[in-house]
Amino acid sequence: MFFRKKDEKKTNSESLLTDRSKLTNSVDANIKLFKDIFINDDTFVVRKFQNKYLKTAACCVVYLDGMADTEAINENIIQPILGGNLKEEISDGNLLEELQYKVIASSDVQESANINDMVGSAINGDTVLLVEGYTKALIISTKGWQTRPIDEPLAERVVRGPREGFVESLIINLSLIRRKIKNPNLKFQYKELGLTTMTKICVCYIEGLASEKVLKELVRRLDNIEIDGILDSGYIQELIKDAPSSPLETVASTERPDNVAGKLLEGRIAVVVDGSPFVLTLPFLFVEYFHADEDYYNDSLYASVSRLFRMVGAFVSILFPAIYVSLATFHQEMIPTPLLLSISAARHGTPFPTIVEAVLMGFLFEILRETGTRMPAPIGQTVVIVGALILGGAAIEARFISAPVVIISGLTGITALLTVKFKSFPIILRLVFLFLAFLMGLYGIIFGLIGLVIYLMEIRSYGVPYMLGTGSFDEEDINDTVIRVPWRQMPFHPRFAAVKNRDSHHRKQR
Amino acid sequence: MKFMSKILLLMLILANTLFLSGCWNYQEIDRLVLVAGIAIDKSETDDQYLLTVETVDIKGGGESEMNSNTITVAGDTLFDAEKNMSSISGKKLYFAHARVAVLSQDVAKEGAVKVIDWLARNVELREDIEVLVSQARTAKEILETGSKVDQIISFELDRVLKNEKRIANAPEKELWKLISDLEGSSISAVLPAVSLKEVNSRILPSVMGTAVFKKDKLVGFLNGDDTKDLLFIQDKVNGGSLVQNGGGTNNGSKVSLKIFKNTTKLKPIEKDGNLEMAIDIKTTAAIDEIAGSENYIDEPGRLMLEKSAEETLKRSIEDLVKEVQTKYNSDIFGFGAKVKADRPGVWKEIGTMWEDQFKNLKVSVHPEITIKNSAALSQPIKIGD
Repeated sequence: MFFRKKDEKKTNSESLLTDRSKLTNSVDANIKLFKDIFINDDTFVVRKFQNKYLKTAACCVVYLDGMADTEAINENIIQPILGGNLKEEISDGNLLEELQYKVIASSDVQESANINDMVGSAINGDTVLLVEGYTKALIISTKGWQTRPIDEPLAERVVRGPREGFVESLIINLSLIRRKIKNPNLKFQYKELGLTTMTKICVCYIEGLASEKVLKELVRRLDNIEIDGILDSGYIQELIKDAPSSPLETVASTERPDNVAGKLLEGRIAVVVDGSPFVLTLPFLFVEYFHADEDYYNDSLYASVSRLFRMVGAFVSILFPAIYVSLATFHQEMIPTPLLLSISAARHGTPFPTIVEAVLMGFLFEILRETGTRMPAPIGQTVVIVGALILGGAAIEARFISAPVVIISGLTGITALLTVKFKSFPIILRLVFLFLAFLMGLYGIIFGLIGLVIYLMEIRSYGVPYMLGTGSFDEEDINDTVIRVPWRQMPFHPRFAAVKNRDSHHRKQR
Repeated sequence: MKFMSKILLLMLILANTLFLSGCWNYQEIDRLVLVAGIAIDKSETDDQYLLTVETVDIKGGGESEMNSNTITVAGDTLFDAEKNMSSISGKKLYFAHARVAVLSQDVAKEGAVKVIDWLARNVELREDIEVLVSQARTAKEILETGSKVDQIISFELDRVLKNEKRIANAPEKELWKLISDLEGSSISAVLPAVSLKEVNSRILPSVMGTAVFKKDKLVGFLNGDDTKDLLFIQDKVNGGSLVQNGGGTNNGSKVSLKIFKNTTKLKPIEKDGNLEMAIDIKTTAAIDEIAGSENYIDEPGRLMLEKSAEETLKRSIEDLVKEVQTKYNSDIFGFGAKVKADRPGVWKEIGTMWEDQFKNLKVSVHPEITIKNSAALSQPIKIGD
């Protein structure tokens, strides 16, 4: 829906701003010009005023109500110009320049003749000052919209570590990153995306650390984006990722400034999008799914164990239902006798085949999870009670579903939450493996695993192999992957990202 | 076109891997009847086999219940019997978890190979199933008695056999080992014997003693004590006890020694052109019980006890070897295998007539028992004067 054909888009954007590239001498005519552009927009405010001593100073401010800080406009623009001593301050020269240099108290004032710039700035909350007799205008920064305060990110909580999270304002987000990396080599480059929304985005990287190849490729992909609107970084994430049809991410997103700073320090590149508290980082490798910020703040042993648990969790979450189905329907000889007896007792008298039970319970869990996420918080409790007690307990009691399947689905669901970043990946894979197990037992599961490994090995993220370092026992390749070694033993930036300056401790080379 | 044909070829190969694999036996667990044990008898009236299986009957529900159930069916062959059985039970009999196979004396006397072939060839049955010989009239009685501890008698028998390593009164034998024993020319097979005994006014199976085979035919049984001596020779004792008189005045009191560790070494030696088997037994034991107040703990008493225990062991082992040589003439000890391994040259000469050689083989036993401690008491209990 958001896409338009290329030529269609051109006519669209042109029609928006035809013949408005020039201001005239007359303020009134200029006001009419703006009024035409902002026709039917009731937040558009025009305020004409004139200094009573200096009649030439007949001005007009144009801004959008709610976007601009009216107090700043009053005190820093209107008041000085209306002030009694304006006449003494202004010499006979260029009034516009004089106003800019001597009168207006604002940190960012720009002279512009381009009406497109003015309109764009006004939309962003700046104020345009039109002066009688000039075909140019001043754009004064008065951005003053309300933002959410910096909060603890909901999706990525930590016990140990900084608690601030990104907000919806681009500039605040950039400041959060800047505050972590106080170095002039940290570069921020703006871009504007979204033909209608004209959303500001910012590419950040550390010069001399980030790979130029990746940066070039990123800029190319960003420039190729043709879309009407960008309401969240998710739009961009999807549009610039490798393996676009895959359920796996090749671009990471995070709400945490410390995470972004860490990634930047490794030589990765971040994309901050205005209006979204989620910042993208890339390249992204498969193993990062199992990483959490806290791993770097806790001691390395604990971090390594946690990572291993997350991996085991993902394995359990994806494969356990399939393994159960294949053991229970194909390979009964592999189940220890007492366990077989209790499974047999539990299955006794249940109406559905094991595979149907497993798929049903899998769906049930996903439904409960989805409901739990969307529900208003106070009702969430009800969902848990209904789901766990009534559906689970009663289903076993009534012998609709056998108990082992309920246990397995519960385990599967819980372990999936160990690696929340995976999103749809385990759900899809679980179903695929269930189907394979139902058809061919463990043989099918092995088939699926082989296919999965081939698929994972094939993916690239910005030219970096997705499974980089898998199978390598080189100390440098594994020191921050499935385990995290102590900082002392991690003297280098990762090879794939930081190409030039790899010494992360900035020591002299031995 | 070329691309398409490549894709087609790939799909063909993949499809083949699916259809040519051997895993197509989809079956739900609750449709299976679990077989816990098998008993094989010979029909008394005609030349048919009687196959008895002990199945686990599971009643599901809130509190599931397990009950033992036996089915006996006749057939010309064992497979025939198995086939006839499924027409009775309705559900599929699942043999993969069967733990024991009990052979009746008649079947064993006629030749174990006839039935063992089916046990081994059956794809579901495992090679580590325990094989026993019933000393009772039939084999099926054993499975029909009902167990004392467990609901399922076969599982209990299996546990008893697995415990044998620590008790040493029956030679535990899994199917694969039995087959390898039967195939070897230098050792004769033995199987554990199971009989019915009355315990607390219930008749329960008890695993004790050894069934002695010659080739694949049953020739006789050894009792529990003889079995321990047999296991001593075979170096399979890892526990159990020795009971004898402590020695000293009036032959002393009865003492039980608990065996901790034992290593037996067989050494074929040639003496004057004659082969002789030396059996070196090194045992570490502890005093577990002194039925009296003699002091067997201090050094003189202990040495005396050790010596008397050694003598007892030596005598009983020699007796056993003599008995087997004369009564059964079947090399169940594995002397032949030892000669074959240590002296392949000698074996080449005498291997073909090992039966005669074994009958007259001279055996010398050298036990060496070390008493390590005296359990929780360091003194005998003295009666006050």
